[in-house]
Amino acid sequence: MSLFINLAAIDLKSYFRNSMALFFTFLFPVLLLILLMLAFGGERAVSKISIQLSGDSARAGKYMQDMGYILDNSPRKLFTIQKLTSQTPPSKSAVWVDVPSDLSKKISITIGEDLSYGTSTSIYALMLVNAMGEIGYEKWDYLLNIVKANENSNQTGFKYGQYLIPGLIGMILISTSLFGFCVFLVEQRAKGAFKAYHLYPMEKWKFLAAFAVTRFLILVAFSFLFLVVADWVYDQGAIYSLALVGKLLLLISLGAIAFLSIALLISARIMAVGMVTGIANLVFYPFTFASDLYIPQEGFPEFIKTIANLFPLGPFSQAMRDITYHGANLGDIGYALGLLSIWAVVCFIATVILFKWTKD
Amino acid sequence: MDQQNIIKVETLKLEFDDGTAFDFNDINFARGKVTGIIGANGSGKTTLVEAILGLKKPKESKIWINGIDQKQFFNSVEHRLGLGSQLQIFAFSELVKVREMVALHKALYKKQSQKIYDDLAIGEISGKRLDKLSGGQKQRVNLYMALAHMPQLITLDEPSAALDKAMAEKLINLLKYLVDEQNCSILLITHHPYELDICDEILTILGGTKGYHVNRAQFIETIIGKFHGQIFIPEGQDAKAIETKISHLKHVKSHLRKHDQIDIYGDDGLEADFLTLIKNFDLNSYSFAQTNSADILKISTQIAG
Repeated sequence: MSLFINLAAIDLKSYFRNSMALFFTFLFPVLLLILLMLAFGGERAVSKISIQLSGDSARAGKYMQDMGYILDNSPRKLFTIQKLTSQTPPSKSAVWVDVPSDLSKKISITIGEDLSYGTSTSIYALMLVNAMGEIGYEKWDYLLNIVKANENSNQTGFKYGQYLIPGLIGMILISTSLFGFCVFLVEQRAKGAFKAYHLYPMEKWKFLAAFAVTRFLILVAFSFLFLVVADWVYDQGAIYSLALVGKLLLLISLGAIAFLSIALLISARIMAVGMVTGIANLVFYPFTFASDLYIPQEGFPEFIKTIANLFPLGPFSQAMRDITYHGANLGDIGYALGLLSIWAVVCFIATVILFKWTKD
Repeated sequence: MDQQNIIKVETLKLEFDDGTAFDFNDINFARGKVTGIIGANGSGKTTLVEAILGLKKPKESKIWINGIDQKQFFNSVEHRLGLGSQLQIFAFSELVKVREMVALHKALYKKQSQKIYDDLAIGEISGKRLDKLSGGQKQRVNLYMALAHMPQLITLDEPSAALDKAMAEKLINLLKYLVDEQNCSILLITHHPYELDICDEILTILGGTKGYHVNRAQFIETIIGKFHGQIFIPEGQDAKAIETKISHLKHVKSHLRKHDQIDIYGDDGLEADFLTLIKNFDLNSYSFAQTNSADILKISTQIAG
C-alpha cells in the first residue's frame, strides 16, 4: 500500500509543480468557458416561438405592453404574443411568462411541453430579459424562473449556461484524459522512462492505478472548481447542498475514471508518439459529436441514437445537468452511472492486461 | 540453481526494423564477479543487457537469471527485489525531488544502505528536483536507485559517465565493496579503463555477437599480450616497411596502426623484439609498458573472438 501511495504522491506533486499542466488543466478551461459564453450569448439561429403572458395587475399590464412593444419592433420577428386569460390554456409550444403584481416576487416563465429543454428556448427567455433591461427595467428588478409546463417544481431556472457547463466539463474531462494524460504516457514510454518500472519490484497495476488515482483527483478537483466558478460568475442558480455535492462527486468520479480508463487503454499499445494524437482524435470526435453537445441528437437516425447513447460523454453531461439543475436523484441517472462504470472497469482491466512498458 | 553463474544466455537472437540483427550464444555471467562488457559503439552491448532484462523483444531466446527462466523472473515481484539496474537513460519525471526518489526506493525495496546513500552523497542533493541537477548528480540518483538495496544482481551501463573523478573513484570502491563484501554479481558495460580495472571477467561484443569471454588476466595474457609497445613514426619514414617488419616479429600478437602511431602487443619476449625494431629503424619516439585496461578497451574493438 505504501508503494501505491508513494507512486501517487510523487505523480501528484510532479503534476502540481508543472505550471503549464496546471494552466491547461485548470485555468484554460475557465477562459474557454468565458469565451464560449461570450460567443454563444449573442446571435443564434432560432425557430419561431409564441409568448403568452398572464397577470391582471397594473404592473403586469405595463410589463405586457412593454414586452409587446419589444416583440412588435423586433427586426427578427421571433415571437408572437398573446395575453393569457383564465379561459386560454397555455399553449404547448409556447414560453409562458407569468408576471406578478409584486416586484419582490419572481417572474415565472413556463416552457411549453412540446418545447425541448434545449438551448434555444432559454436563449429566447434571456433575450427577453435583455430587451426589458434596455427599456428601463433594472436588471435585478426581476428574477426569471423557468420551469417546464405542468411540472410542479420550485427549482431555480434553466439557462443557457446550465446546458453549456456540464457539457463543457464532460468534454474537458475526456479531452484532458486523451490529449493530456494518454499522450503523456505514450511520450514517456517513447523516451524510455518506463524501462525502470519494468525492472522495479512492483505490479503493473499499481503504477497504472496510482497514475489513474492522481489524474482522477486532478479531474475531480477541476470539475468542481469549474462548476462552482461558472455558476458563480454566470449566476446559473445551482443550489449546492450536501446531497448535490455527494451526487456530483459520484457522477464526476465515475466519469473521470471512465474517461481516464479509455485514455489508459489507448496508451497501452500505441507506441509511436506521432500516432497517438490521431488515435485519440478517432475516439474524441465520435464521442463528442454523438454526445448531443454540438449536434442535437433529435436529428439522428434511431440506430445512431442507440449507439450514441452507449458512448459515455452524452449520458454523463445529461446526468450532470439533471442533478445540478433539475434536482434529479441517483435513480434518475442510473443509466449514466451504470454506463460509466462499465466503461471504467472494462477499459482499466484491458489496460492492465495490454499495457507495455517499452516500445520494443 | 546454478551456483556458478548468475545469468545463463543459451541463445538470444534479435532483429530490428532497420535490419540490425544480434545473435548471442552461450554466454554465462559468473556469480559474485564483475563482468565487463566492452566493444565499439553500436556493437550491441546495451542491446544484450537490455534483452537479458526483458526490455527488448527477442526473436528467439533461452535465458536464465539466477536459475529462473527469464520470463518467470520478470513476472515475479519477489525475484525483481534482487535486481538493481542503472540504465543509460534515466528518464524519470524531471519534477520529482531526490528525496522523493529515495522514498520511492524505500517503498519498492524496503531496504536501503546508508553507506550507499553516503558514498553517492545523496544527502547533499536530496532537496533538489531532478531538473535542477547536473548530469553527474542525476547519475548519482540513478546509481542510488540501482544499488541502494544491495541487490544480488546489478547491471550498470557506463556508470561513471558524467561523474567527476572523485565520485567515479568512490563508485569504483563501492562496486568493489558490493562484490567483495555483499557477494553481488555485476554486469558492467564500460568504455572506461578504471571501471575495467575492477572487472574479473571480460566479454567483448563485436558486430552484434559475442567475441571473447574470459577472465581479465587470461584476456591480457592469451589474447592481447602482457606487454604493449608504442612507436611514433617520424615524417619521411616508411611506415609500411615498419609494419611489415612488426608482423614478422616472433613475440607480437597483434598490432594496430593509426596515422603515424603503431601499437604493438605481445608476450614475454616482446621487449627484445621491440628494442630491435627501434634500433633497426632508428626510431626516437616510443614507449613500452605492461598492457593495461586502456589497451584492452582499445584493442577489444578490433578483434573478433
